[in-house]
Amino acid sequence: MARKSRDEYAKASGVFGLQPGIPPNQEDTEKVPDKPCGLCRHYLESAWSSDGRGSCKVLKEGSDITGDPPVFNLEGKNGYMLRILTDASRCKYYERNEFIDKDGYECSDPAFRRFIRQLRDK
Amino acid sequence: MPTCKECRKFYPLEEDPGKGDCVQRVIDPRQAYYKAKPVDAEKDAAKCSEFEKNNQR
Amino acid sequence: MGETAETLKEFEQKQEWWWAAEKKRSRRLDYLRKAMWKKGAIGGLYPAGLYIDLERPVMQTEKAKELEYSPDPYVIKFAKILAHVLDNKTIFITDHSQLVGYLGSLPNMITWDPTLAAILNHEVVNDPTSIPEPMDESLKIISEVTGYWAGKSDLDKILPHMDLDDAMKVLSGAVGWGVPLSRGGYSGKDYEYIMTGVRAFEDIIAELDRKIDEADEKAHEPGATREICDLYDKMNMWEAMKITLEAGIRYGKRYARLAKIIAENFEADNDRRQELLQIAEVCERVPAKPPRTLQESLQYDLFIQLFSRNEAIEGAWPARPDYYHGPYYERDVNIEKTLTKEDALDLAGEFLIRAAEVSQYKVKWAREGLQGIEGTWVWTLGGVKKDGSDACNGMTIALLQAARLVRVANPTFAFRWHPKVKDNVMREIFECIRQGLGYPSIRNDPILIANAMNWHGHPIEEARTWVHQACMSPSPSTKHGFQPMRMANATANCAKIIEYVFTSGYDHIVNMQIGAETPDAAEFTDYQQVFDAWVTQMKTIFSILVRPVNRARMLAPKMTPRPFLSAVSERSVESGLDVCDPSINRGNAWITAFTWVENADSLAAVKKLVFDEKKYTMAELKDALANNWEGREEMRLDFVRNVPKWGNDDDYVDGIMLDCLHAAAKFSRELKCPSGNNWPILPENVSGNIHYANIVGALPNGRRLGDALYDGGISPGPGLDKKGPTAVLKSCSKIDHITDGRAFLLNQRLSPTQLAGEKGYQLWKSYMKTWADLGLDHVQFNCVSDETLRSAQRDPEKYQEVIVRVAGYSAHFVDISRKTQDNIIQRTVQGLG
Repeated sequence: MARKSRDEYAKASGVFGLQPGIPPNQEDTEKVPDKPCGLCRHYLESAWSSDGRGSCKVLKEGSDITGDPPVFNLEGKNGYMLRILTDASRCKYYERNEFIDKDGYECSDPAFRRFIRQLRDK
Repeated sequence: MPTCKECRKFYPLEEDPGKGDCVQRVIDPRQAYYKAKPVDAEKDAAKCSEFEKNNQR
Repeated sequence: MGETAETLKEFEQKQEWWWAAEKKRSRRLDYLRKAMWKKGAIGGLYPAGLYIDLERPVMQTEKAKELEYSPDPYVIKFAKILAHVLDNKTIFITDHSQLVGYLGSLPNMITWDPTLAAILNHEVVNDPTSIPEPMDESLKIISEVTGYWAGKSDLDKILPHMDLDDAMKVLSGAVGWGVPLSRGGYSGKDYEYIMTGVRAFEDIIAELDRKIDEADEKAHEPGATREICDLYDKMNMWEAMKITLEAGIRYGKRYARLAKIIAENFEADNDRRQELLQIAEVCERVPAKPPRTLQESLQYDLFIQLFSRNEAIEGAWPARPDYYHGPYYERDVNIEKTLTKEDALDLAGEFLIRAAEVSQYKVKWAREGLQGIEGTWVWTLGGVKKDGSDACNGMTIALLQAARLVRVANPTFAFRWHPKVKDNVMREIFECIRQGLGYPSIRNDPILIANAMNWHGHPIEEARTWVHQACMSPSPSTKHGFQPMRMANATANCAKIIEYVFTSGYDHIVNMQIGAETPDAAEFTDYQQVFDAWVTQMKTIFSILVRPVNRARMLAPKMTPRPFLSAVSERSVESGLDVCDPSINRGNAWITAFTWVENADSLAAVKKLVFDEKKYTMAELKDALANNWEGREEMRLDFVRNVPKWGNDDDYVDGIMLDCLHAAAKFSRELKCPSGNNWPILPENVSGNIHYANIVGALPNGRRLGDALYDGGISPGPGLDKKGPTAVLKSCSKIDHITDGRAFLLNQRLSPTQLAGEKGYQLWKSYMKTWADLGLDHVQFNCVSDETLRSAQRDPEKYQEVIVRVAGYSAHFVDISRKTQDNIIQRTVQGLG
């Protein structure tokens, strides 16, 4: 089995925290797009951390929803990794989720829970 | 400019009067306590809301 | 007074033990208990009124920037940052308290250590409930701190040195639960070195000075050898240790000074003034010099625990407080009579409260997996001394009584039962259980001593010093036996083993190939092929989790050193090596096996319905699981109802459980820690069964994605143990609790009505005799009625103090999520006798 290149890992770095990437900029961490992935029903927050990582349950690796034009890849094994505040305004699969748990205390399912501060009023 | 050493909440160290503790009484929703934080005697206290002039020192 | 006594009796009759405790405890304990800020997350979020402490991260960042270009090696910079925090943090003394010290700057602050992981820091940025006001100002500070530590924190430094495939799989959150970091996990302590009254910080500093002088002399003799090169690192390590100890002594003296200032300038009450002067005397004494009294001993212990938690996020609190504080209790209360029993009870109760309020900001998996508590502070009581005699003493009783008075959910106790334990101690334990604390859990000392010798080769005298390193796992508290860091990363979500058998290792929840690419389950033609695939998946998952821990352990001495923990460890003071250096540790690793029993029940279902009865094909089952049983409810119920389940003394499924355990035990001896020792498994769950509910797909035991998993260890599935408590014990006794794994958690629910009075005690004692005779290593009880728990769900405000046993820990019922609450209520209430 050939060892993966560091570049391949780097693609997933924003998701799995392998590299810190660019230090967070306060402006960016507070900027909430009108259609953030975190409010989409196809978004699955990371099971491990609430730092904003997650994946799409529809799109697969190779997609690029922020590109112009966007790329939608539905084939392949591995999921498409995103962040909660990723701008999904160009994503044709975007569907706003209905939240059960409005304040994040009760529901153990991240898909139905509003957990992140930046999305509280959304 | 008022400094910490002029405040009644300032308690200087015996071995180094240039330093000391700011000691305050706090009552939060559950408990009452005294807290202490090291400060320099000459620290500017102009913007400190807890400053109370010590007329004894 | 008469009215109070009557009310107390009424509460006891109604079994409202929390109100009874309020009536019974001293004024001091009542104040301190109510003054306590509970820190455990509710669901996954910190409760209202708690705030992230920004004082410490700002101090750490300032000092780190100041030292950035200094010529100090990293370990010394790290020690200086720690000393800077201890020298400058805000300290406080709560009214009526006799023990002092807290991690945060104020009682309602949760400390945040930004030096550990960038992802943890991002969580702080996103936190929806605990960022202090004014928000804009706080966010600016958080952003600056987070920006500075990006790329510099421990995990950021360590991960690029891991196998990247393993790291990604761990961080997906699907199979593992934790980080491979020496500053984030469960730290054992060398209590035999530091807590026996022989030495304290000044003595160790003198020893370190000698070591440094000798090494320095040797390093400058004519010659150039590898040994001389190594001395440079050792001298740096010793110097760093000394910096932390000196800072610890200064920290104690800061409290002495504050107590004196309050006594002399503020306090009008003469009795309290004397108490404050007493605190001042205690803190002048410890941690610099060995304690002389119970108060000094408890204060000394508390300081050590706090310093260690200033150095690392410690998710557990391995301790044996009756054993190490017992001699001081005996001297103060029984010999010199300088302390009344009531005063000693106050100190014991306050010690529990001081531990209960300790808090460190943790990532989501930890908050959700440990709902309602801050970490698994499972304190060990009882057991035997090194010579095999009974170790119980007056402090054992005092702690058990104090627990019933203060009723904190954390710390909890685990009692090392052995045949020589006296009846009066057993009655105290029973009272705690009967009064619904959920603790102590009972551990079988002879079995676990043998187990420690079997799995890790600890000599018997060392094995007898064992403490709970986290919820369950025994670890000696000796020079080479204690484990400085158990990294929670090696915690396996074992239900994934059977799930991956049907997906050829592909995880459909996190969209990754995580397990082994075993053959297509639809093509399996006999049960052996299923089991072989299960073994392959088990080995793959365990390896993915163990390798990063081994790697982190090897990197730790240089990249993530622990100078303070090293300074209170004989092997490091002696050798000049970091406490995590594998060459000076015997090794005491274990894999925590979350969600384990689902495997046995699922395999039994597959064997019976697919291969024995041929009611379904593997292709049908695979398809049903892939579709989360949708449209196949009848089939699903067949898999739930019409197959044998673990916990009913049925050899069909019990035999499969043994096959699984034996396969894991065999592989445990192939997995090695960097010290060369084994990695046995330890089935238990904390509240991982809820955290993982939406991460584990449908399973052949009839479970759907989203359903709570079993409550863990070797406990039967809730409501599936239909043949009574003895059948549960008999199933569990088929496991060899010495050779089949490191320990096995068993939850049992008992009826509070049945445990009333002397008859209740005798029933329980007889149950415990069966348990001991059958050779089980653990059992713990929930003894709160369904009625009380349902009332608490309806009216949480009135039932704030009801405690339940979740898994290896207890929590206030109102502090756990609804799903966890329901899961506890669903557990079978066993009738005894």
